[in-house]
Amino acid sequence: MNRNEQISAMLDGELDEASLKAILSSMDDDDVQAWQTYSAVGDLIRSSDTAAFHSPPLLLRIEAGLGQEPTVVAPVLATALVRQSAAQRLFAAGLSKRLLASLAAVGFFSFAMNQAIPPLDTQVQMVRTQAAGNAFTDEELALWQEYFMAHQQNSVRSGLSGVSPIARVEADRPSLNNTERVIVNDIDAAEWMNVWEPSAQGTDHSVQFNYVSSSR
Amino acid sequence: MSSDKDDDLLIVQRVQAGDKLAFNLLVSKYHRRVARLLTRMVRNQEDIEDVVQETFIKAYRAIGNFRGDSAFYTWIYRIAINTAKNLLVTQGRRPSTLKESNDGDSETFEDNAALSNIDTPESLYQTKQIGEAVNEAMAALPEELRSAIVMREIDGLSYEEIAAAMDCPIGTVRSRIFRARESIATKIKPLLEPKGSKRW
Repeated sequence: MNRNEQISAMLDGELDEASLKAILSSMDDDDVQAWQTYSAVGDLIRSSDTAAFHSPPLLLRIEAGLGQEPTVVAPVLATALVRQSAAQRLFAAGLSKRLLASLAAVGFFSFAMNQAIPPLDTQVQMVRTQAAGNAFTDEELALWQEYFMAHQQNSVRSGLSGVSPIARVEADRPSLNNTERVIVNDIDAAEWMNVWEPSAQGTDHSVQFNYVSSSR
Repeated sequence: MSSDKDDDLLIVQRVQAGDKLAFNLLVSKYHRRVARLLTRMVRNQEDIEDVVQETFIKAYRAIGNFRGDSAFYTWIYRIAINTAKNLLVTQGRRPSTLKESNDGDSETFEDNAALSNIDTPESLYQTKQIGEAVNEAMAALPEELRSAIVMREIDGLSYEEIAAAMDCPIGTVRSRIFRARESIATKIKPLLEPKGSKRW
């Protein structure tokens, strides 16, 4: 892949992170020219109207204005979660194991509800026993939480009245790639606080969360 | 591999990490589209350029707040609309018939009447020339290159999706799209050079 082909792929967001970092750190004027040309080609293919708004002097003016701005350094987005959808990650591996754990949990609760409803903490503890074979990390659990929160309106909660969603989260924790990092913004924190709390070392707007037992 | 939403995410990350050059790449990628969208609200070419400049500077200042919940372009589009509204308020004018729309709608908006104060006969002629040159360049492409670039630029498909549609490896898709861009750029470049006027 030659240099301009890399820039073409970069324009489409199709370069891997390592290549992107390498190319961004070594871009020269020719590279920037290629980027601008390919951008213009794309715009013109979509609509020749955009030709009316291509103005190199305007581009220079904006860049000059940006040059006077202090350099922004901000908490960097966590892309690991974004590059692949939650559903893709969730079902990427170990589906059968989780499915069995889920079915076991549902079966147990169906039985339990026909007998007597034990205290919540007991349920959680028993469900945890079902999932004890899985060595899940906090990051993996966070992936499931993300998926669960996004799809809770479609969950079977109404069919399991009296059963804490947290218990099902415990039972269904996915087996996923544990290299992924999870960063939860302060804004989102309130939604997660029933099962997550900030780690002690969190110092900025993005806070690392640790899993906390539902029995606290 | 990627979707529209995260096309720019890695570049945004670089900006957030303090790489200002990376933001210039986003400016050169989107300034035409932002300017075109602003013609709905702002009729004067100079005002449009002012709003475009202010939009990108505001976006840069606020890049730390960009969380990736939407595409970068959607985010900057909203900043542009708000900046244009502020300009119109300052000028004592009501924002014109701007409909609330999502990113996709905004891209397909066609209202040539809105361009009336911007398009001079000369610029209309140039635009027409460029449009014809692009069409000719596209028509001259080999079929596999044309299909690949259309699926990418018009349909917005990822390389992976194009590879599946064309039944070829992703590397082949990447190469075809690159060669198509090169071929079109070679043919339209003479029209893109600035000729003393403000445009091209």
